[in-house]
Amino acid sequence: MVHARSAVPFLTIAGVAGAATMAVELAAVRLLAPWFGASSHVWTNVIGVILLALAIGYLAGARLASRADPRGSLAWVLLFAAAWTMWLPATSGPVCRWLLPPGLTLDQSMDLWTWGSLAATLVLFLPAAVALGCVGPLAVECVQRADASSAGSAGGRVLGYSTLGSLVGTFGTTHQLVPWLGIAWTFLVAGSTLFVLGLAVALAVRRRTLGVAVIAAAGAATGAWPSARVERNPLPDGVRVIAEGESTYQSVRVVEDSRWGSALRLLQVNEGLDSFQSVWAATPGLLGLGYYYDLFALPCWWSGEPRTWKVLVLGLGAGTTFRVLRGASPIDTELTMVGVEIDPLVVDFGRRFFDLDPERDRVLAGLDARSALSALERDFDLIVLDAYARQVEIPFHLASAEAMTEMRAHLAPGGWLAVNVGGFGFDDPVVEAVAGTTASVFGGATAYRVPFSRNYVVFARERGAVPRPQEHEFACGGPVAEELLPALSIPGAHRVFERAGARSTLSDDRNPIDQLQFDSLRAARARIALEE
Amino acid sequence: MACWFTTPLALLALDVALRPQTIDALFAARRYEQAWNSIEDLEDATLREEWRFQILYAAGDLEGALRAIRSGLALAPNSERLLRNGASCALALGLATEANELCARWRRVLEADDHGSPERDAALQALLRFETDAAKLTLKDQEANRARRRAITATVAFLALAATSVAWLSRAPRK
Repeated sequence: MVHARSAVPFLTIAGVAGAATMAVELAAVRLLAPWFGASSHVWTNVIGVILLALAIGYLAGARLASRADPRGSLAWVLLFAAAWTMWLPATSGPVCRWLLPPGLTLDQSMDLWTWGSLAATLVLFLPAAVALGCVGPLAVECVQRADASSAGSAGGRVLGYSTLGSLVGTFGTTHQLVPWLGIAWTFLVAGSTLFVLGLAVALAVRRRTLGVAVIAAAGAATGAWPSARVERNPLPDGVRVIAEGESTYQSVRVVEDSRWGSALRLLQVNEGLDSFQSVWAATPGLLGLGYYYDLFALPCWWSGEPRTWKVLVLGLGAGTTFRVLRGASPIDTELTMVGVEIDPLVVDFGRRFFDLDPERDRVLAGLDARSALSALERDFDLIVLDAYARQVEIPFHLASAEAMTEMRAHLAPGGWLAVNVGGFGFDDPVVEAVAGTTASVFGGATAYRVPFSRNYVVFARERGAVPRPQEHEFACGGPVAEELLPALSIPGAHRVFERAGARSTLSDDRNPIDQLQFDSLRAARARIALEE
Repeated sequence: MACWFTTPLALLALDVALRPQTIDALFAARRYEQAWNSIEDLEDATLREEWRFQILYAAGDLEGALRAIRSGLALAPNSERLLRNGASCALALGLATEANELCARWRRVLEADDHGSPERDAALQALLRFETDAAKLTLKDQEANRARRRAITATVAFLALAATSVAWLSRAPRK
């Protein structure tokens, strides 16, 4: 029999369990991101596994609820979920390393992003989420017995409090727990809260077997606290971490790479593989072979060394494009630069480690690039679209014809759009889709392959043509052109895109860019391998 | 923002072919487009592919460079230069099978030449390094394949367990 005086404790438990479920779900993606990224596929795997776990938990809870005193089962599942949740930061490293061995390249890891993240989610998060799923039916049973209410009344109240708890857990995790406490502490806080509730219920029930559960959970909790840290893929020799932090959007770190002579600083978000988001070299200007940023300097030279040059960078990162343009533009050109970066922590790291100077250049931090466009002036000579979400995907709302149309409207006559696209060939699905969409909006576009990299820069122009090799305008002269143009002039280094058909044009309504990105990565090896 | 490299580049040890003067001068002056256009003037088809490789590699098109090597090897299967550069290129692109195969062919060519010379010794040293790198790449590929099998096995096992649980728990509880 249940002897609780009121249903309030059980409704509270339902609410806290709802909050903990959302905390685990949202922090799960962050915990996996250093290994598998945070792509749509990883999100889908996490959401799917949590839903599966909740379904199993509801069914198991329904079965447990038929016992004589469901409070004992409630204490058990709360204590189990608490212990498991608190151990997640410590266990995630070994599990993820087992499923994604360190040192693999991007194309070696392709299949593992989907299968590995799915397996890791099942192994790591399914048990705790099943236990949390049990809480709902058990709470309904306890509420019903406590105040002798009907099943509908008890169920409705538990669902209400549980959903409100989930709401608090959703906002609290994203905006407070993860940014301020970090991922490991988010799991510890969620687990500790569940432990306190489980302990309270166990004390109310006072059953000997529950004492064992309490002692086991307390032991697990005691062991989990000191070992609670999020493990990331090990860095190679010659690379060290200078700074790291958690933002609302991602895990961010700055590493210094001294392997190739002079030290470079790289900004990485969630990366466990061989990519980075911003780079800093000691001298401003061209970074050298392999860096797509260098190609953003070309429009200014192609435009005939203008005296003033106004640049907008959408997806500023830590400010690499600013630094390249400042050192690689014609010497007497006055640069006015505006950058939009959604993640304030990235801008902060840019200011501290990448010589980004918000006093000198205008930096709009914490704004989405597309929504920021509406507030910006319409006289830019160059707009650079260099925004990436979840590591590898151009955000779909920035890769649509509508977004490109807005960008075009912000260009001065003769102004340029330059889009950085990751891909493995001019016929790569992402390169074709983005360049085709750009061409549809501008009436044509030209993509150049960045030497020694997997990046392409798509150029388009408002009321003007993009120079191509063999055209007089292409050989613009100047040291930057001398450095960059030889590699771009050979056959196969560029492709001209005409307007794409309506079906091939990415739009706000139909935009499979994340799937195209996945297809691109998965097919990468097959493109060049003979028989592998 | 994302930037990916196709490194390691340091592996590539360019072994320059006989250099017809015009192309050589254009190539040295980084006038790749004109050098490329001069290739067709060469009579030796293998040499044409070697120059295509040189120019494509210098311009950072590793996939194109490897394709040129493949075309060259179709014409001259035992060209040491082509085998060496092809192995290097395949390694840089992470193609373990092709790198191993080219290393093996290169070794056969070197071992067929039993006249000891400093060049041959140096080539054998280089080959040894390439073979080591190719073996490491193969190991990484195998590691990735094993991890994939582990992931699929774990996923299937958990999903089977989940399906069984759902089926068992869905039965109505006994009164």
